[in-house]
Amino acid sequence: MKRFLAWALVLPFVLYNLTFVIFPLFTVLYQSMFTIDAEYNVSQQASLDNFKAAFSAANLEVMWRSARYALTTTAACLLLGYPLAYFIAVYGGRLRSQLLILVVLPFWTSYLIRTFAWTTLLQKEGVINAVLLKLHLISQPLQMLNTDFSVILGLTYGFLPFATLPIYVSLENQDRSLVEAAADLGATPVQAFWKVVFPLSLPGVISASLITFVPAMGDFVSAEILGSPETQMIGNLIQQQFLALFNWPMGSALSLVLMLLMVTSMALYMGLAGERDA
Amino acid sequence: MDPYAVELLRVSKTYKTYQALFGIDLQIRKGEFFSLLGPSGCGKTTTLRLVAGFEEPTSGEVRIDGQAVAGLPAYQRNVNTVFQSYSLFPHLSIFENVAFGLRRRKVSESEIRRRVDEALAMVHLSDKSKGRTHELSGGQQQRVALARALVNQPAVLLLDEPMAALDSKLRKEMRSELKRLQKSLGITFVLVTHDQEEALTLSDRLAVMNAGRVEQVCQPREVYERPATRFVAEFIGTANFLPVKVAEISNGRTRVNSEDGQFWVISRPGLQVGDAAELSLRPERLRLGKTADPDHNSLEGTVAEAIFMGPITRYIVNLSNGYQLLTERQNLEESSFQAGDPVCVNWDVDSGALLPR
Repeated sequence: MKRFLAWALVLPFVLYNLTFVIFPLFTVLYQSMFTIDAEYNVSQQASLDNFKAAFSAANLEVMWRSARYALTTTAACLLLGYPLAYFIAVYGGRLRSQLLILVVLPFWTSYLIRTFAWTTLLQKEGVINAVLLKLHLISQPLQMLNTDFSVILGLTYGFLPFATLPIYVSLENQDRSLVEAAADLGATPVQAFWKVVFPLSLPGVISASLITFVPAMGDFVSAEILGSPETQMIGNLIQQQFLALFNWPMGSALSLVLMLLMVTSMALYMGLAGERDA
Repeated sequence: MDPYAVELLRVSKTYKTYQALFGIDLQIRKGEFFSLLGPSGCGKTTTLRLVAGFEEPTSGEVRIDGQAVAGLPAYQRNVNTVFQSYSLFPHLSIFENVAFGLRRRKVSESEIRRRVDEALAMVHLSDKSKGRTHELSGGQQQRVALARALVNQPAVLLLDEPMAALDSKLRKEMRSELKRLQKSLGITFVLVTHDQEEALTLSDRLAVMNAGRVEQVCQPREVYERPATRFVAEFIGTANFLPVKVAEISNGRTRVNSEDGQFWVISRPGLQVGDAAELSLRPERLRLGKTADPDHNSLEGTVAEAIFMGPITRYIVNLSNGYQLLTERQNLEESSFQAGDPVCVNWDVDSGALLPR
């Protein structure tokens, strides 16, 4: 009876996953085996041609760029998110939950619209250039939009809350008396942070980096809106294949390559993190 | 050289709306085992935190080794603390936990190895040095916390209810362990506890605290036999209290009058003839007899209840004026008193303590 109940509880999840994750994944895999010609005729023979094409020099460059952007974004999110999480966890007091709401407040608006908002800030006639010109800090408006900088900025802005929350949780759960113990044993506040607080928050930092890196790697919104053809990411390639070129098989192949990239990098990272932990 | 390891001079501490300490004075001698004893909320932990440097006094002065330490942060004070929850670092090995303080002071690697090994041997945990703290039992964690503090050879070791989380058997073992360590190392120990037995058995001297004030500072025996206040008499052990009036003082002795007669008791400085006072009597100092001892203090009553407790029997004696006295008697022979028996309660002049009222 107990076993039956356990299975019954798991069943909805299993069905959901089979229908909406496993089955589509196989569809994608199946589609990626076929090619499409200029008249949109699907090839009769299954082949790996799409995968060969996926690893073209141009695509490899885009993948390399995506990885660079995602890594930079992750680093930026950690550098911005850690102090923010630390501040809320340690000095937030009774305002903690309100401050956390502020962290997730951007989610109340769509990511797309928020990214568009950045264009008005970053463009040549935008707010930032206007202020800098007014202050005579620059004589020419800066080219910020459609650069590496603007795409990474958009990504960082979009994923900062994802990075902040797990770090916050790991800091919030820390026993504050450990900091006192460190001070008692002669550690300055800076030493106490690096020797005790930071190492104990590493699980949060690791989740934060994964939860930032993975979606940043696959993102296409930021590059689409804030970037240029020179800042294309792998997500943009996939999107083009599906929505502009209607080459679903090629898009499927690229998606699978992206998945493979992410699984490999995650496995590598977890392996490294786990080794450090042991 | 300054004879005191720790001195508190008129130290007060006020949190936002709550005053924790009201101008306390304490002198803790070098090399002694000193306890701060009191109920929760009496200010004993606050006092310890002021010495450790986790808090600054609102007014007054704290001195460590004769030096005023105002403004000196915890990491610069030559004191170490054993925390109530041990506060071991879960991400470090047991060896690194103990080495933490030495590493902060840039002690050489070989010296660290030697001293940590020595400290772990001292608490019988040499074989565990590579392990993790969560693999240890509560008692072992306690020992690591001790080693981690003592390895730094502090001027003063502060212990914040270190045995509160241990079961009673372990607690007794830890007690003798602590005493042994303190004696062999000669380091001043300051123990915060609410456990009177712990304070009485371990301390060279102790301070009894209540509601942010020090009620009495003295040796364990004195605090029990000559309590300074009713609070001390009640907090440590059990006591009977009789309202009395000072009638005569001569030769270090005081004669007091009560509703049931007059008694002689050791004088208490500060009490004058005519003052109202209270006579505190420990149950085990009261002897039951069939007749009054002519040379001793004596009261007549009736046994209301006889409670057999194994090695002792506890008697509750009703006095004629409605007061009750609790007495204890060792069961060296078969008890001769039962409920309803008329008895005389006798005690020596030096068995009672006079308290101001």
